[in-house]
Amino acid sequence: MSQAKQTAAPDTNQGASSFVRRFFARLRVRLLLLVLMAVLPALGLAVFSGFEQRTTARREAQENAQRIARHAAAEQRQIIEGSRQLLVTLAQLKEVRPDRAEEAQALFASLKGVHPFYANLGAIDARGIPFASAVPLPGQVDLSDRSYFTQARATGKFSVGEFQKGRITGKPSLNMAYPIKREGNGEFLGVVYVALDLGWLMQFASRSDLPEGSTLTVIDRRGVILVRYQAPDSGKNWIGHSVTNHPIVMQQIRQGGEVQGSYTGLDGMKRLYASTPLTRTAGVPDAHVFVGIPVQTAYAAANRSMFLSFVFLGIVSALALGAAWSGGDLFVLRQINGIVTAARQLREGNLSARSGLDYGPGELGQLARSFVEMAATIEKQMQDMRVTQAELKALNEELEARVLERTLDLKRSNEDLEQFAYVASHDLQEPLRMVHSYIQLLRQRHGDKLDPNAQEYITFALDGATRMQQFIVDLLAYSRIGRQGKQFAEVDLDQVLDRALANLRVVIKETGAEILHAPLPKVHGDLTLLTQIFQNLVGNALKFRGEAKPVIEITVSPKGREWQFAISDNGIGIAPQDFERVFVVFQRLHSRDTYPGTGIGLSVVKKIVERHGGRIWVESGLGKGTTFYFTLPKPREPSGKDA
Amino acid sequence: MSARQSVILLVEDNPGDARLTLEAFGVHGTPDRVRHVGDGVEALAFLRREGRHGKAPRPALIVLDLNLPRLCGREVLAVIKGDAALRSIPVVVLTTSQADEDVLAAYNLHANCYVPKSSDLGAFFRAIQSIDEFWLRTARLPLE
Repeated sequence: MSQAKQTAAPDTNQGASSFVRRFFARLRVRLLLLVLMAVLPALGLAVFSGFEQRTTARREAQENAQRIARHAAAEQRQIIEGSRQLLVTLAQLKEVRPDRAEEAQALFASLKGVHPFYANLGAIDARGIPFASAVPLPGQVDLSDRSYFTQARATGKFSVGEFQKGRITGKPSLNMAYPIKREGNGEFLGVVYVALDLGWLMQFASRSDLPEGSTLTVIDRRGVILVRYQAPDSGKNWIGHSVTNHPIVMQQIRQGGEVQGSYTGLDGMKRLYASTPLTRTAGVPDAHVFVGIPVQTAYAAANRSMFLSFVFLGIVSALALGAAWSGGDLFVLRQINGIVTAARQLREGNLSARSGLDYGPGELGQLARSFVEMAATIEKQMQDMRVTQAELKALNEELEARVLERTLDLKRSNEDLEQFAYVASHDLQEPLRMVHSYIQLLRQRHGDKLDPNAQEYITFALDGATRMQQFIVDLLAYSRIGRQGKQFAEVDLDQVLDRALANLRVVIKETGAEILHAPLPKVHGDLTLLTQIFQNLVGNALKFRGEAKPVIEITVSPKGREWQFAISDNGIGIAPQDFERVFVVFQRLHSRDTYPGTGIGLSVVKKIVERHGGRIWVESGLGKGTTFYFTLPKPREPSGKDA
Repeated sequence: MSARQSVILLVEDNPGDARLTLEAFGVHGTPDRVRHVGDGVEALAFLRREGRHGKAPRPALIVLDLNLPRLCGREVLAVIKGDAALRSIPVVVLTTSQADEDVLAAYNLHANCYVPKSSDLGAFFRAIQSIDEFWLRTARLPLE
């Protein structure tokens, strides 16, 4: 079990990886991957362009915010300038004197009706007590500590106070004042002032087409919200709220100038902010106007465009994938599957299988055409091969029949020949003996009555008859080698050589020959025939000896599956051109007078060697001695030794 | 006395050979004691005293050539040695063949002796005289 568990894991892995390989090897999957690869850049482009759009949208939103903030600041400066002019004019009026308070009161009241963005218009005497006010005084009010008053008194010029909450109106306002001087001596009589209702900014903001959720906030340098506009109105009153705990805002306030940024506002909404300092005149800003446009809103168009791009791309991709899926099926896979099916059939031996598709132009058509051509070629080749095979088979059978016939013919002819040789030598021998015997009888009984010529004729006749007799005997022996049945047994060649030398002992003794021989092996063969080999070869070596004492050496060496025997002498030798002739029946190289014999000896040896499955050849040269080589197969090892 | 009683049957188809054999035998006795027949059928008729051989004597020795017309020498030999009444008569096979298988075949058929015909006249004569000497003078043969 543990083994099974151990092998299970790699198996699964292999299975999975091979599955993945097979999956990606599929043509359809590859096609889809291609389509996806084509779609990817478009997707990247869409993302890029989306971000680009967002960047642009952000910049535009921030610029828009900045523009509005700047516009607000500019508008305020214009209002301040307008207010200065108004105050300068009012300060010249005779009615606006502490001693003519009622007239002044009426004037301011009428003016307030004309200038709605003024929370109040009024005048203050030299002590700082208002003596005229468009808005009725709530009671005893002392404004001597207000910066616009003190500055105007100190400088004798137009002054702008700080952003403040009006003591008379109770509204956040920016007060401006101009000193009233007595004609002639320029004595300071008081100031005429206007309180600019910061609510005008609300109106301004509502006129500026700020996107939904945008804010316009005025914060003084202490971090207190003076004005806050939000469209649509959130319902919460932020005025008087301190933003000192908002580090970014505070930093912007301290930093001054125009600042842009993106951060979470007081209400928790993330906005793109732009701020512009609101200044009374020149100098240190007292407040900042912040315009915030919600990120969500700013990016809305870009996001929407990106979303649309994605949707479009998604649809296009889906369509492309669908087209690749079904189109691949229609244009590629069906054809390829057709070819695959046909190839499979072809493999199974259905040679007439074709893809069955029309071959249009293009690679697939070409493939289909090539396939069909290939199938046709294979079919034709197979047919040709079958035909060739059939022809070959027929030829082969014919050949075999012919060989058999020839073999039988040859066998018959051989048998006939041997039978002929046997019968001929038998039947020839008798009449020949008759001739021989009666000529002898003639010479014996009537020789004394014949003249010398007749005696000589009788000698020749006898000699001829004798020789013919020998031929017949030899021929009979020769024919008998082939005719005898093979009765082979294990034969010790040492014993064979002994027998042969014993048969030759008379000649050996006469010639004084020296015969050297190595120990000889055992072979499988016929004792009598093998004896004849050695007897004839050694006999020949003795017969064709030279002047010197004959030395005959018999050696043997293993050559693969055979023994190779060599019988060499120091005799008269044989010329190379006669090497073949010596083995031919009744072929003689010498005259009968020099060396007697019929010339059958080596033919017999050759026939015996061949009958034992060996070969025989000769190496010699005139006067160089002769070596006869012959081979005999080694006996097969008993099967026990083999194993 | 015994020589006069002993008859040799020579079975030989070749007149030349027959004459030569008779000449060889004739050197040592009267021609009458060698009876000659030309073939195997005739030989068996002689031995069984059939036909014109009704009064033929029982031979002391049969000299048989193997090469015979009608019934060949081996067949004649087989019949003689297969016949209880005849098999005690010694048969000398006298033939031209020197072949080992012929020699073996003859002895296998219980030939008593195999003598090749030599083409040398002297040797032939000596062989015949030896047969005569041995079978009719040296060896003791059964009574009739």
